[in-house]
Amino acid sequence: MPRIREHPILDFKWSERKKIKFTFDSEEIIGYDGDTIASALYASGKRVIRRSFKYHRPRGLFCGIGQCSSCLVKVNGIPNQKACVTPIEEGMVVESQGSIPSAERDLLSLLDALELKHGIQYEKFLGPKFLRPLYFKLFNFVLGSGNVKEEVPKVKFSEGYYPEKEVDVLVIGGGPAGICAAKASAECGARTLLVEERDRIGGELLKQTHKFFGSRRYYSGMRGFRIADVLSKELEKSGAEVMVNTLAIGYLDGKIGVCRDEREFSLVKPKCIVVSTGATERTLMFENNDLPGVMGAGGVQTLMHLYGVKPGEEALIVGSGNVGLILAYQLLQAGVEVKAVIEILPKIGGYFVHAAKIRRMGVEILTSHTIKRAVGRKEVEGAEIVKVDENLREIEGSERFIECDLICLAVGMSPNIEILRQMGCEVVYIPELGGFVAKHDENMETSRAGVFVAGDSSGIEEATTAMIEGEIAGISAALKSGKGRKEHEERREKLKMLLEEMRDNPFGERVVIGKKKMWGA
Amino acid sequence: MHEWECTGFFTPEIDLDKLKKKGKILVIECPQRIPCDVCREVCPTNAIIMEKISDVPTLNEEKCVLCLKCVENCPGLAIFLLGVEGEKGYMVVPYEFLPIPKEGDEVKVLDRKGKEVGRGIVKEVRMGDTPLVKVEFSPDILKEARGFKT
Ligand code: SF4
Ligand code: SF4
Ligand code: FES
Repeated sequence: MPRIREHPILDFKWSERKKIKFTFDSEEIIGYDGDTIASALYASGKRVIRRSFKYHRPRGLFCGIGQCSSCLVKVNGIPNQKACVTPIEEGMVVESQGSIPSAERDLLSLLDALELKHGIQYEKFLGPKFLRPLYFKLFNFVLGSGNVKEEVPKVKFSEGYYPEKEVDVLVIGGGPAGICAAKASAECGARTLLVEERDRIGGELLKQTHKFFGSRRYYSGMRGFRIADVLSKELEKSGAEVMVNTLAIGYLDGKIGVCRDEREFSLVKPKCIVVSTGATERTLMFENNDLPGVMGAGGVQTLMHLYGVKPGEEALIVGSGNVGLILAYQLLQAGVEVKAVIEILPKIGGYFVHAAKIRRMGVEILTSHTIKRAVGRKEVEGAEIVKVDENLREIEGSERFIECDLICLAVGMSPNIEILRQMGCEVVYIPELGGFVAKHDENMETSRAGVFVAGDSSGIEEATTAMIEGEIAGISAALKSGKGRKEHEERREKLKMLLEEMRDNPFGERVVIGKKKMWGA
Repeated sequence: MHEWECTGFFTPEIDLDKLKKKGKILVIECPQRIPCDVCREVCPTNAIIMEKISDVPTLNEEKCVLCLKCVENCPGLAIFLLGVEGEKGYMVVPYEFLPIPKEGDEVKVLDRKGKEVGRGIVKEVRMGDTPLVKVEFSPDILKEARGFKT
C-alpha cells in the first residue's frame, strides 16, 4: 500500500489510527480513520475511480478537494458522490458508475462504438411511452450518471421554514484570507460568523509543509500547517463563530443560504459579507489529460499531506511557478522521484531559492518545454514532452519520452467568484489576477456596497498577502457594519502599506499591474 | 534576465583565501528580490542588512557571530556555513529529508545541480525544526558543495 510511512516533517500516527473496511465494486478496501473514499482507494492502488460519460474513458482524481467532479461514485446506493471529500465509514458500499463489472475492467466501453452520448435518453428511444422510464434508468446507468434510489428522501425546499441568523459580518471560506478576515472583524467588535465547507479551517495552509516567506508579522519562517493551527487558535480567541462542513449555497434578498452537513439548511442575514472562497486549479490541454495519474498540484499535496498517501513513484511536474517548485520538493520529501519540472516559458516562474532547493537535489528544470501527451492505457505510464520556440510553438523533432506514473499540473488557478457574481458584483477579466475577478477597491470592497473580497478569490497571489488582504477586508466589513473604532481604521492604513511593501518585487509587480488595470476597467 | 533565473543555480564569488584566514564564513545565496525577511528577523545581532522586505539580504560580517539561526530558519534554505579545519573543508547545511544521517556516516556531496562532486563524512547533526548537518570533505570542493545525499 503506498502510504507515506515516514516523513521528515509530518507524523501521520499510523499506529494510533483505526482501520476502516469498506467495499469498492465488491472488493474489500481497508483505509484509516480520517481517510476519504478517494484517499483510501488511491492508497490501495485503485486509481481508476469511474468511467467518463461518453467514451467510458478511465477517470481518477484530479483536484482532490471537491471542485472538479472527476471522482463521482455511488455511495450506499446514492449516485454522484464526490469520493475525494466523502469520509469512509465502516461497511460503506462504494460502486463505480457507468461500468460493469468495475471501473478498472469496464465492459461497457464496448458500447462506445455505438456513440451513445450523455442525454441521449432525451432525444432518442422516446417511444413507446410505457418503456420510457425503463430507458431512462438504463441509460442513466450505462452512461454513468446513476439512478437515485426511491427511498432517498427528497428535500422539499418550498414548504420549509428555515432558521435565520443575524450577524454583522459573514465570512465565506476559511482559508488564510477568511480566517484573518473573521479574526479582524471580530476584534473590531463585530458579530462575526465564518462558514467553511470542509471539515476544518485552514484551507491551503493545511497542505503546506514548507516554511513560509513573507513578513514576520504573518508567521514567516513557520511551516504552513502550523500557521493554520496558530490562526485557528487566534480565531477562537477573537470570539468569531465558526461553522465547518457548511456550504454557502447562494444569495437572495440580502440573505445567504447555508447548508451544514449536507442537510441542515439555514439562512444568514449579514450586514456585510467577506468572500474568501479561494481558487480552482486549472488544467491544461493535451492528449490524454484525463488519464488517472494526471492530477492538479493541489490534489497531489492533499493526498500526500492530509491523507499520507504516496501519490506515485516517479513524477513529472508541469509548471515552474512556486506551486510547482514547492511540490517538487514535497514529492522528494515523500520519497517520490521527480523526473523533471517543465516550464513553457524561457524562465523559471517561481522564486529562485525554491528552484535552487530542488536543483541541489538533482531535479532538472526544463524551461521552454511543454507536455505533448500523457501516455498510458488505464493510468499514466509516461509523458511525451517537447521543446518550444520563442513563440511557444512546439519544435518538431524535439519530442522526448519521460517515464513516470504521475503528472502534476501546476499551471495556475482561477479565482472562485460564483457567489460574487450571484450577488451582482461587477466582474472584470484581468489576466494578471488569474482571470475573472470581482472589481474591488483598496479596502477590498466590491462594486456592491457591503460585499468584500480577500485572498485568491480576489486575484491569485500567495498566502501572506492573502492574510493581509483578509485582515483589511475584515476591518473594512466591520467598520461598514458600524463596528470598530479609529484605531482599527489606522491599522487598516498600516496594512495597506505593508501590502504595498510585500508587492514591491518582480513577483508582486504582476499583481500591482493587475490591480491597476482593474481600477481602470 | 539573469542566467540563474533560467537555470535555478548560480555561482557567487567565494574568496577562499579569506575563508582560510577566518576559518569559517556564512554564505547567503539569495540573489532575487522576494518578499521575505526571515533571516533579518531571526538574527540576534542585526548582521543581516535589508532595508525593505523585498530587498536582497547582505551580510555585515563584522556583526555576524555565526550562530546559524538564519541557516536554520531561512525558508529558502539559501544560507550555508563554509569552513576549513586543518586539512579539511566543511559545510553546515539545512537538511529536510529522511533518513537523517548520523555522525560518521559517509555521504555523497552534491553541487548546486545535484551532481556528485565528492564524498564527505557527517561530523555533526543538530536537530531542530530543520536539522543542520555538518559535512566534512576535501577543501577543493568548497566552492561547489551545497548539498548531499545519503
Ligand atoms: S549566523 Fe547568526 S549572527 Fe550570523 S547572520 Fe545568521 S543569524 Fe545573524
Ligand atoms: S530568509 Fe532566506 S529566503 Fe528569506 S531573504 Fe533571507 S536568505 Fe532569502
Ligand atoms: S471533485 Fe473529487 S477529484 Fe475533483
